[in-house]
Amino acid sequence: MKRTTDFRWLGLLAVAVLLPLGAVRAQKGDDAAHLRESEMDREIRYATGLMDLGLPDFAVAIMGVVEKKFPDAKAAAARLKVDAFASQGKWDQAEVEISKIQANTEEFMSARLLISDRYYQFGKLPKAREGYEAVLGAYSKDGPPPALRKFYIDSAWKYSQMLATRGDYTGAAKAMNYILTAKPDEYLRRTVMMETADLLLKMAEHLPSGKERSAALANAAGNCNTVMWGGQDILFGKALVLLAHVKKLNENVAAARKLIDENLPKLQQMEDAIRDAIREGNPKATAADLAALTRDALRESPMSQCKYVMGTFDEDEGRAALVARNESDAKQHFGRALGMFYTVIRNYPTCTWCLEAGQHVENILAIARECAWNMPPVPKGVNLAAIRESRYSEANSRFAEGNYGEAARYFVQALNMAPDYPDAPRALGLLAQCYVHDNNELYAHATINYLTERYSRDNARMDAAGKALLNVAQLYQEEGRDSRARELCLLFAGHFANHDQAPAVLMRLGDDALRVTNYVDAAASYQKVVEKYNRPGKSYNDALSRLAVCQAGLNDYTNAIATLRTYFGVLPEGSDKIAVLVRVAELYRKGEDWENAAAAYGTILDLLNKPDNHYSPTAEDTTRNRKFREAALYYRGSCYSRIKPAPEDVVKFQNLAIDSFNAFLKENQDSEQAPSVLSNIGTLYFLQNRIDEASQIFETLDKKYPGKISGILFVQFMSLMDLRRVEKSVEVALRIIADGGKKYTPKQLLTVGDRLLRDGKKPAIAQKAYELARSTADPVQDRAIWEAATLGLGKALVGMGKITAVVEPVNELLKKYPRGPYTAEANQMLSRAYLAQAEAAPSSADKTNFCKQAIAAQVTYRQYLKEPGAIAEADMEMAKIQLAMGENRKMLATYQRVFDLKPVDVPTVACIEDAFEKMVPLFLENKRFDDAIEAIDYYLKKFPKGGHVADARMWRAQIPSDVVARADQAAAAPAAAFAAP
Amino acid sequence: MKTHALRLIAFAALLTLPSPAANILHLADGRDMVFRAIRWDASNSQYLVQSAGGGDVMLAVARKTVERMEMDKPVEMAQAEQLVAANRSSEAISLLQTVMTNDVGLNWDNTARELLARIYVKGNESAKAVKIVDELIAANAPISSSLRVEYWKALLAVDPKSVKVVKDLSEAIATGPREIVPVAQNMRGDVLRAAGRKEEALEEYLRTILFFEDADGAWTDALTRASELYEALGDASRAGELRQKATKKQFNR
Repeated sequence: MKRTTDFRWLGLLAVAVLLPLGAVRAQKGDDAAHLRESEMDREIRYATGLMDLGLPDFAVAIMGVVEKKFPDAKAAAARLKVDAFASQGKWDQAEVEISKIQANTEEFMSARLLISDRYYQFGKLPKAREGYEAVLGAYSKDGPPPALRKFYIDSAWKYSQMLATRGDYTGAAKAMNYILTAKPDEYLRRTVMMETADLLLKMAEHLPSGKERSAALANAAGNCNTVMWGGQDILFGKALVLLAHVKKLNENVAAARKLIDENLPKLQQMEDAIRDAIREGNPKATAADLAALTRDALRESPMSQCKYVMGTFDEDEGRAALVARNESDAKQHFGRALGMFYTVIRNYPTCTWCLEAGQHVENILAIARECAWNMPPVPKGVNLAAIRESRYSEANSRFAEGNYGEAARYFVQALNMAPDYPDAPRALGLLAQCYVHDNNELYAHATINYLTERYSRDNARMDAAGKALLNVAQLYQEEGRDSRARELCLLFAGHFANHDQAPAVLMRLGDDALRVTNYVDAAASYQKVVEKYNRPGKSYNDALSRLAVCQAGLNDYTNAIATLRTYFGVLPEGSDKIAVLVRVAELYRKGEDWENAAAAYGTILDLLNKPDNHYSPTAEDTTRNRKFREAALYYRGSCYSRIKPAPEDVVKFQNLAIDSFNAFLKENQDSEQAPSVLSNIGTLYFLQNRIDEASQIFETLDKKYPGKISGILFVQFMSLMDLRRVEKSVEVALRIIADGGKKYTPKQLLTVGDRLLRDGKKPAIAQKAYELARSTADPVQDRAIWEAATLGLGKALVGMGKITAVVEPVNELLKKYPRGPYTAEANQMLSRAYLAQAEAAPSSADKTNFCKQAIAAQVTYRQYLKEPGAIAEADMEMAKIQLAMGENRKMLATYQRVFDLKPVDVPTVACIEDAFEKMVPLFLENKRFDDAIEAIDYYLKKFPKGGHVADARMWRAQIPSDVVARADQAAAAPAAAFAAP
Repeated sequence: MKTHALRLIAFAALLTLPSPAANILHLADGRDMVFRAIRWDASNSQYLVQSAGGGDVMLAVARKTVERMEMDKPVEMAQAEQLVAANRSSEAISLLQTVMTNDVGLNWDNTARELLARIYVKGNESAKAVKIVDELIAANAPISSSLRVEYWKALLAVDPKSVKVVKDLSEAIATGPREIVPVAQNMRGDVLRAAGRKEEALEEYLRTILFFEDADGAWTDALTRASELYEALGDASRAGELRQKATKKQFNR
């Protein structure tokens, strides 16, 4: 009792120093100045409080008002805005706000510290370091001004922690020293010196013998001695133990042992004082509560480190004995070391040495296993599993706080300490996220790939590993790094085929590709879902539907229809099924398979005609099916009318079309399609030479839909075009054109031109229609028609092979309207026209001049391009111009660029093929055999069914055998082995 | 007298023979059966056994009904082991080959292969070592981690760009025991490095550095090689940091 009474005062001190940083913070909040503060300060404090509550938007709003009321609050407001933006990760805005504060003022410096704290919090360590160094260094000589002092101390502490967690103990010690320049009170000064000594010790531990190591240890010892002179309190005890540790690292184990042995009673008394202080300070606490409080308080007892160091003495001696093959001594020393480490773990479970002690226990037990020693069992109360778990949970909590640098360090320690811990895959995922936050992409890569490779085939942990990987992908996505997120999804899809999330991830990959019309990649993803996860459900059904979209996009109508038929089979009864059949029929139409298309529409009508069909279970289904029926009737007629049967069947199919159109009109008199359907019927009569009936129909058309259709010839023309009776429609068109634009509007003339060119492939007649449309339309009032007719005229001239004639009208268009809906197309056309002129030019000066104009137009055209296929096509056109200019090297470079493109869509693939065909002969011609064989082998690998496979093989045979042999040897190199599975 | 002498010789011969009665088949149904002799009939995937009770009749036991087996160590095997222990490995080769021929399918053939592979590795006869280990792999015989590492080295010695070794390394990294993973990662890093793929190689070493601190030799190797690669990639500070760690590790060893 007497013994503890002597050091009773120590107990009070012990509680006071439980958290050194708490002491730092205690200084910050110790004044009651805010009781006397001004209204302005009170408002600022209120706004700051809102910031602390995580309400930056409100804080900024309040400061806006304060700033108006008190002009002096401007700097404080700016500082608060800096923090508000930074707390939300809006760095650019935060930096702008800082730039508004006058440089080198206290407000400026505090704002810089604030933003540095936030950078640290967000794991942007280089930026944090830059800010801290700038401000802390600025006052390193004379210390910070009083107003900045508390904040300065706090930031220096954080900065030191940041560097220590990254293993930069030298920098951390230097940062700690900044606190001393702020002239802290005596206790804080000694605390800082102890922390610095600890950092120097850790720094020395990582250095080999030499001057640097000796100096660090000497400085640490110096700090310990200074602290010990300051009084016999807890810091004294800590300094004493640390000094012993320093002596041990100086390889003076005897002195270290002596120091500890001599002072052990004193250290024990300090610990007893802590226990007494807790007991006396909590007289009403239950035994369990008291035990918990004591456990927490003993975190700061110097005894924990003392026992730890004593454990290491014995461990080292055990190892030495083992090397000397003195097994009995080794066993004895290791046994004693284990005892010490067990004490640390059991008695000081919250101290910083506990985890290290656990690590030493694991190491010694591993040695014991290797030597086949029978060691006593781990004592009760020493929970090694709990230590492992605590390391993981400490890492988790640091991650949750956003302290990614430190979290990473803890995760790595945890994963090394307990690699088989059930939470290991999740921890690896979080570790990867820490590295992503920290912009340490190489480490993130290494961690992600390790997680994937090591755990994707581990049945027990595959699920957790897959989720962890997807969470990293999600983080990349949130950071706006979509391509990296996609890479990880691809990695997941490649390795976690049996994961629950696999179909969803494949769908996501497919959807991403589909969004940019990359049908090739999208189809590959959907196909995997269809093949591997072949069970009806949302993913499977959606995959079928979207796969059909991709196949159709790739003009693979046969497979698209087959896919849709499978899709039809898995869908429940309802209008969705009919919608699928409508898609099937549309695909037949796209493939101009009119007979099957008509039959498919017929199937739809048959299904819907059945009295008790199951396709309209709800009112919504009924409405949808009504629309489908309308479309089916219309298109069935349209398809029948386009079939080109044997002469004896022509009338039969025309009548089928008429019947179908009539059925349509019977049910859909008010449909928007009704006039054109009626005119189609009239035209079919006209084609059957049933002139009276045809005239009757056209009269009905005029009466029934007045104003909707003007000009019978125009209606006839449109119907004939709809029915693909091109020659007949040309006859009618000529009669329209002969009218000279009296009865027909410019819009109708434009339509005549468009359909003649597009559907009829009759550019010469179309040219006349466009010219008439252009001459009858007002270029300003009817701008849209005039522009379209001009462009149409250009296209017609191109179609007629009069490409050079394009220049005049198209230039007129671009001069009048430099920016419009046709600017891109017009420039493309103009570029081609100039190129044609260049090719025909007699003199080289003219050639060059035309080429330059072609390039200028091409450059403008490219500005409007977004789709990869269109860009590739533009590149190929540029190559043509380069050829015309005689710039063969540039042209070859252009082909190479196109050839290296990703084959993301049909036009791009076509350009790659084209570039390959043009490029390889040039390589061969120029004896660039290595380039040729590289291109050929790449092509044969990537496009095994490409259009130039035979050419490629032929070209390969022309390459000298030594080059071929070299290429074959390189192909067998590791590249193949590292290919993704 | 002569008869007595003969009896003594026979007795002495008996004493020199390995102790008998280890020809046991542990059947999948839990029974253990002792036989006088056991032979492997590869064409029918069965064991031909001679009952311990006498008689020359050979009975067939299907391979699929046998869980594991214990066989007497062949004399040649014991002699070969003694020769290897006495650093006379080259003399052991023919004995081991005899075991491989005579004891086909009776486990000792694979034990002989493992020892023979090690002899070849030690004698820098990489191609022969690879062939023997390939036979073990084909027989689905368990291969110790240390032999596996030797196998990789031998493969790389035969062909520094071996695709086979990379595949086997990847398999070991994915599914092998923990102790072999850092070694395999480092070796894969070496292959990548030799192919000029520095960043990928660096990633392999980093994996070892991050997650295998307990693998003493492999960890230090990874630190050293990563430090060299950082240097080559122009990051001298990181290179220095890792070099320092490696030095410290060696210093503490």
